[in-house]
Amino acid sequence: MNISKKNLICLLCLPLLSTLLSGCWDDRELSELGITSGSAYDWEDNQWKATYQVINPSSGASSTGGTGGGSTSSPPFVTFTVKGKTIMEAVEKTNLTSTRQMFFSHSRITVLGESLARQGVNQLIDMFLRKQDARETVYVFIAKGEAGDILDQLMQLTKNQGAGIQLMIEQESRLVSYYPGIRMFELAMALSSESGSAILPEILLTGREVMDETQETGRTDLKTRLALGRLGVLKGEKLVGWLSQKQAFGLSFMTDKIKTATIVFPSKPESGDKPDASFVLQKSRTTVHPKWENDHYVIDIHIKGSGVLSELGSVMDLNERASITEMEQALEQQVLELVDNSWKEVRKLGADVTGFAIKIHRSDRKRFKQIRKDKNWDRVFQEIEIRPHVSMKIERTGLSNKSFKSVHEK
Amino acid sequence: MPGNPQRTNPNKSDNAEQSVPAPFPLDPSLEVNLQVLSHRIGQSSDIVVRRFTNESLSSLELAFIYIDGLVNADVVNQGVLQPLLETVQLKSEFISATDAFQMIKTQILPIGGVKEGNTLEALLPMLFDGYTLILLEGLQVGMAADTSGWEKRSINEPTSQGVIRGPKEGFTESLRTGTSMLRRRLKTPDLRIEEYKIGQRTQTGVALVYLEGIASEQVLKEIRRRLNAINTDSILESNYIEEFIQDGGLTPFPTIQNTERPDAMAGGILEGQVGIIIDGTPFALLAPSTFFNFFQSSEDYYQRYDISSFLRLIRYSAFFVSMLLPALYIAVTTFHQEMLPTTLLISLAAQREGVPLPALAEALLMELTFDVLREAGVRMPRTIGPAISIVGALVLGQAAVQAGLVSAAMVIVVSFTAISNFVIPSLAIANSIRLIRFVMMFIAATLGLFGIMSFLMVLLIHMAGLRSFGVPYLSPVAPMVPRYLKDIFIRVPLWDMTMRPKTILGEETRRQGEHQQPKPQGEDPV
Amino acid sequence: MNRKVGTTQAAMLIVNTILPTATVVLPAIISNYAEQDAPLAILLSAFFGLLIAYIVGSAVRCTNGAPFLTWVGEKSSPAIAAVLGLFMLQFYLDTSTTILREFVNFLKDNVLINTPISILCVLILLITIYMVRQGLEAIARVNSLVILLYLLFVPLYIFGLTDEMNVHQLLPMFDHSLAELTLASITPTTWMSEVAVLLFLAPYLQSPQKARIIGWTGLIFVAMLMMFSLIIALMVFGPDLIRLSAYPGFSAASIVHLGRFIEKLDILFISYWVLSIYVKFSIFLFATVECFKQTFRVGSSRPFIGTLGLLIVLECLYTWQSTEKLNLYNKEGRFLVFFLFNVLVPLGAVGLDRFTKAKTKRKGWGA
Repeated sequence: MNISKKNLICLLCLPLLSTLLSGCWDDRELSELGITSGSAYDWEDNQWKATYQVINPSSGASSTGGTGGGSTSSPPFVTFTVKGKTIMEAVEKTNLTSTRQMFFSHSRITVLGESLARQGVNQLIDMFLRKQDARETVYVFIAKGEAGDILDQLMQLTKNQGAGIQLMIEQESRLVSYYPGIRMFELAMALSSESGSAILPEILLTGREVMDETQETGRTDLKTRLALGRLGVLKGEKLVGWLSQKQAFGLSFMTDKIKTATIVFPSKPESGDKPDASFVLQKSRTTVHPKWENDHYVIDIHIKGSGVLSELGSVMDLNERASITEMEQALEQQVLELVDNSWKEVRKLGADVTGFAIKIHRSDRKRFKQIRKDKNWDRVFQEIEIRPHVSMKIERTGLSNKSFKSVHEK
Repeated sequence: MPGNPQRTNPNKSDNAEQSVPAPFPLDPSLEVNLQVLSHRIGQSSDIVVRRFTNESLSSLELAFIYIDGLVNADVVNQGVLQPLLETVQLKSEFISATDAFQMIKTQILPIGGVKEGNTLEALLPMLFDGYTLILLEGLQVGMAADTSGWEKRSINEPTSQGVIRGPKEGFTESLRTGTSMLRRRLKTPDLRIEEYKIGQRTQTGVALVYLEGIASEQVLKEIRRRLNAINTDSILESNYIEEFIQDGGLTPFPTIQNTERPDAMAGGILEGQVGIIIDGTPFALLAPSTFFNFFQSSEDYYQRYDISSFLRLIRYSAFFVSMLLPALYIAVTTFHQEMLPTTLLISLAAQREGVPLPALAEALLMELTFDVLREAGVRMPRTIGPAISIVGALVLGQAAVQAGLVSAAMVIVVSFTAISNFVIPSLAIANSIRLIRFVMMFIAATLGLFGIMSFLMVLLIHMAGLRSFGVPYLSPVAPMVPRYLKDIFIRVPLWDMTMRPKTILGEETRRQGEHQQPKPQGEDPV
Repeated sequence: MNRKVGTTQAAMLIVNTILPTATVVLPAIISNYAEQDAPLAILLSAFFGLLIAYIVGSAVRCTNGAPFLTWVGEKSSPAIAAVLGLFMLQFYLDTSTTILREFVNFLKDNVLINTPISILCVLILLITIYMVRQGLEAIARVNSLVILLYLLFVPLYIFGLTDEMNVHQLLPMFDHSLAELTLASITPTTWMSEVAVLLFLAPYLQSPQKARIIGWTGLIFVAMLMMFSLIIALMVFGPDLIRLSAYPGFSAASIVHLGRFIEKLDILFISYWVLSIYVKFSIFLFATVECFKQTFRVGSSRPFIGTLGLLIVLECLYTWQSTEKLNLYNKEGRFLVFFLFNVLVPLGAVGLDRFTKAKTKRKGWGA
């Protein structure tokens, strides 16, 4: 009994002892960390040019709301721009200029410069999947020019710009649905899937000047703001083209990414095509059925949606079923055009961002295997014919029964 | 049972074979007896020896010996002296000492407890218990009448285990009061009270209280064995007994509960535990106790079951908070910053800006400060108590933050940890995690969450291997006995607890009838 | 003092004997071959696993709770038992080593990047030795607590990933040939064959007669949990990306989020996993010690636990230094070795039992 007791003490103490003796290997004190909230990558002179946005904790960047303006002289974040032959070399180089070790786990966004996107993104994705502290859940954006400039721009209403951009894209995909926010692992999934293509939303500066001084956020109307723009299309690993917001919207319909959206349409198509009414699409569902017809695929796209009328600029009595039906048809027409328009552009780019390859693989795996074997998916894709079927339903018309314009008709 | 040592050589006191003086059989001569007695107990001022002779008539010679302060003077005067002095027969010259002895014992003394003994060693302990010794000239046997009645603290509300609803009386230092309180609560012939005298010099009364048939024989046997094996010269508080008999001597976890509340003890006894009441302390022991017993408070059963269950869960979380929070804080802020929400991380980082100490040192500093404050609070005279709270709260808390010595978050962590520690109803287990917390902090600072998990594993396996008098310490959760879980994490309504919710029991496991959920009789009105 | 392990607890032990290493490495290995048909591969391997459990259970039933090697010695000859014991000892040492190595590798990859590997090894080993010294019953109790925690983590995993899951990632089913499925199911089958530790745990079971049931329930749970983690990883990442990831289950955990406040919970899952792998390692160390005890017929194994542990640490530190060797072994060597010791040995035991019974019967007739 005595011996076992002694051993017991030893065993209880040893972990303690060993830790006491050996010190700490992996600890990082908070004050040694440069908390990175966003990163941007460009390709310049055959080198990676990386920009990191590091949060400055003492500026009170955690508090949202309130501009702070000129009162706080220190900026909410600072940026470092470094170059390197590989990404990690660039990261290492920041340590030559920064007092703090870069810490990526709290990154929210990554912006790719167009130069890099044309060069290829595989290596970047690999780094994100491999590195232990890199988040796969960062939102990825693409910027037309220099990606690093985006990170310099200060934001109003939120001091942590990376988190702010994340809020923007999440809000966009929830309320506007032009395109979904793409996170790093979703990008990787899309590029590694059967279709081998992906989309990335564009982020841009609305003005020329970059608002990078804290004094400048003191004004109410910033000269330059951050905004979401078009949709970049990647095929393989490279950027092949852009879709306009309208085309992106059509793509959202095709890929069932619509959450809520506002559609503008002409309420009386026969009396002119001028759109004068808006409709809030609250529910939308898209099903895609590919089938082989003779020598090419025909894709049936069924889009079903319902929502509320929110704005009306023509004279109309909404108690009449006919006028509602008329508007619904106009809506359907509008969506059809969006989809067709979008498909034309997608086909022109030759990038299967619609995910048709995945659908075909799932429904018709034998033929797909053959196609894959023959390596002629691109040709098959070009020959695809889509048949969109849209049905829109106006479920409610809001709080008034007649358009206000009808007051003047009397 | 240890013997009654007369003169123990302190140098040899740890020796197993102690020098027990040879018992002194009473001498026929009263004079000799009194001499030996005074030699044995010395000339202590509180010992009263009263010779009493009937010089006129008889040869009968008596002596009373009692200890002032231990006896009730009224009882001695009216119950012993007066009858003896007034009884006529004793004054007769024809009465022999033997007859007188019998007469005194059976007729004269109006006192319940009268014992006899024929050696000094048998009589002395009674003297120290407040008996009055009566020795007669010419007899080799002495008599002891129970005249005890020393100053006692009256029954008060328990100070360390208060309740809002429930009985407000607590044990006192008197063993007899304690057993009486239990008798009053358990009016069943099955209640057994076994008494021991432990400690060669203190001769402390220790009572084993249990319910025949409900307590497990096996456990009882083990407790008796361990009590009998105690070989020490003093038992001053229940912790002496606890340390001598508890399992796994080197565990940080208590395996015996202590309580000040007779109702809590009655509850434990009714569930098959064995109570140990120790003379001289209001804290009684309950064994065997599992880990989960320490989270049950007697108030759980005096309140509605829903709120009791909620409070139980709060206590368990408080236990974990109190053990792990500082360690988790260290691990998260120095190893796993990715776990925190970004805004929280940034505000933590902003607070840490300018704090000169690493997180571990900061935490240690604050924890130690708190422990110092706590200890100071116990020692401090009542009148300057408020001063310490000002010093503690304002100077050490607020000023330290403002001076940039520690971060505000750390103050929150430490105070929450401290408060959580007081949520746990049993001080015993609350104290054990106070130490574990420090070990946790060190390990967290070197290996992060992995270290915490490793140490938790050590604690878990240690607890899984621990037993309290044969009962697995983690039962009934591991090994899992689902039907006993009714009173562990939650407390089910009383009418649903048909079985006694303990794992080790005697034969009578059922405590009440089934289907007692109150339901309205007949049809519903309306 | 030592009481025996009940049947439920034993089944839970089997779950944690197999699961911890399997959940980490498994999805990557299976989906290499079977992609979205990986769940089918698990089903297939579960079927094989149940078969193995049947054999092992029968073997335990033959020994009826007697120490396995002693029993073999009695039935055949002590020499055979000794040789078999030596081989099995080597096997269990190796297996324990690989478990330790995988444990440490995982920690190095995910959490403690700079901490020296030797420190980790020694620390883990010390804790595990302490666990083994507390006896199988204590391990079983801790194990049941660890398994209880699934009740917390499984819902967290599911709720945290509901937004990201896409059922269509599982389609098309039956895309792979049976050959590919079999190939994919080999590795999970080898994991499942670890149920053979029952041979050495049998003396500590309350009712060794129920070994078959224990093995089966354990394996069914294992298969279910494997399916669960695999299907979720598949639904989140899709069949293509999952192949790239070294630890898909945990990659999925790193995406878990509840609202915007609770995210990046992989550390939490890793911590939980740490608990379960401690249990696993201690079970195997226990089996190793038990095998040692039976081979060399020592009464008390206590003085030898440390030595065996040291051996394991040394082997772990010096033999399995490179990860690719470990992966190669996982992929190819492991199957053979496991088949030999986890299937053929119990099968041989059953055969031996039949043979001796037949012999005594014949003798009985003769007399």
